Amino acid sequence: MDMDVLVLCHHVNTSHAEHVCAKIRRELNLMDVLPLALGHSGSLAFPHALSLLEWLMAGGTYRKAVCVLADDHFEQSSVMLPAQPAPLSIIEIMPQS
Amino acid sequence: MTAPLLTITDSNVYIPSFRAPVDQVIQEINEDGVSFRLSAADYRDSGFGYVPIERSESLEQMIYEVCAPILSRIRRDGIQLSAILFASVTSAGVQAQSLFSGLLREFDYSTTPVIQLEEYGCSTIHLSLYLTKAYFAGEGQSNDAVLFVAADKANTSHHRSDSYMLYGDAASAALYRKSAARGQQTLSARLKVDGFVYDRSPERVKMYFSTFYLAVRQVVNQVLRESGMVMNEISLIFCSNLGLRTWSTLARALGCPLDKFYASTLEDAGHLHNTDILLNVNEAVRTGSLNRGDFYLAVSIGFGGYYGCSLHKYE
Repeated sequence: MDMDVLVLCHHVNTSHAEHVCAKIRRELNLMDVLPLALGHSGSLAFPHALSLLEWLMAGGTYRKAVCVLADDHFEQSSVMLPAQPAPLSIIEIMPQS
Repeated sequence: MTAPLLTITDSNVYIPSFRAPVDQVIQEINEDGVSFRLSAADYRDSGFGYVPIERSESLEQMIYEVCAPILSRIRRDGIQLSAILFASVTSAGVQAQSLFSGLLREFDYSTTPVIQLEEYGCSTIHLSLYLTKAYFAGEGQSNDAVLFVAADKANTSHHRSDSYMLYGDAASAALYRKSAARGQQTLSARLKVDGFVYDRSPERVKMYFSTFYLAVRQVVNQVLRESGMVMNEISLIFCSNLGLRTWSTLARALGCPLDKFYASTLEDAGHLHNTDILLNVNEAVRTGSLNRGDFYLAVSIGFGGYYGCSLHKYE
């Protein structure tokens, strides 16, 4: 996969010892990709990710990012999304040419 | 020598006044089921003596303590605060925006995003330098600033220790500006991410412990090489407070004497996650161990395979 940055946006409490972005990176053998994990910011995580990607991509070294938005369950509020049991979005991001 | 990438122009560190002896803390966490892997004597042999523990202030109050003076000064000077990059390793699960909302409202920075960076552990400070370097190389203007904030407060024994180290409570803040005549100039900032340990698999933890010093050597050599400098020109190394035993391994890997590692805060403060480096630099300036014109390295190690190195000049 041709990618420079892997971003994971999540909100809910994950286990203190679990690094989900690192796990995705390792399992998919994306060892040259810069991982970024943004958490506990609710729906602000994705716009924050876009801001950081703008910073990184402005210099030209980073050209393509994949952003994964995922939460497996909502521990804090105990609210399950009615539509899907495990919400997941994957978005490919590139700078404007 | 290249122009600075950014300059740390202001910083603040808060450490609780109460310090518990490491023997007491180890006993307490063992009783709570953490199973610390070293004896108290062995841990003290690495230079650790006490663990700072916050007994009255909340995490939000600790953050206010270190940020308010800085925000007051930059508001007075009309500086645009582009972002707050926030790291909280011990206090997993905290919601960043709510911790800063009162503070930002008070100083009229309510539109500043608070971005919580995760997974890099004690190397988040170097991730913040790396990201801010990119910002100032691109759209960042001379009147812009980025604030890095680290805050940690353990609420349980499992936050106080991961069985390998004891973690103290602390907060710190550092203001990054594009350029300034005075401050801690950052001449190079690099990251190396292995990310070996993404859960507590014993095989991956073992791999991490057997290779971390090689990764540190790689990122330090990369910084020195691209700066055209050699270790002899470096006055001090400010490293994550991982103790004398770990630093001895790193010193051998880097080919430098152990006393190049600044160790004065080990006994009284111990390991404070991302606050370690700011504490050590401030203390070295205060005591005269670091003087204007000195070059130094900051080296951070995040558990599981996250490494940062930066070259600085104190001006």
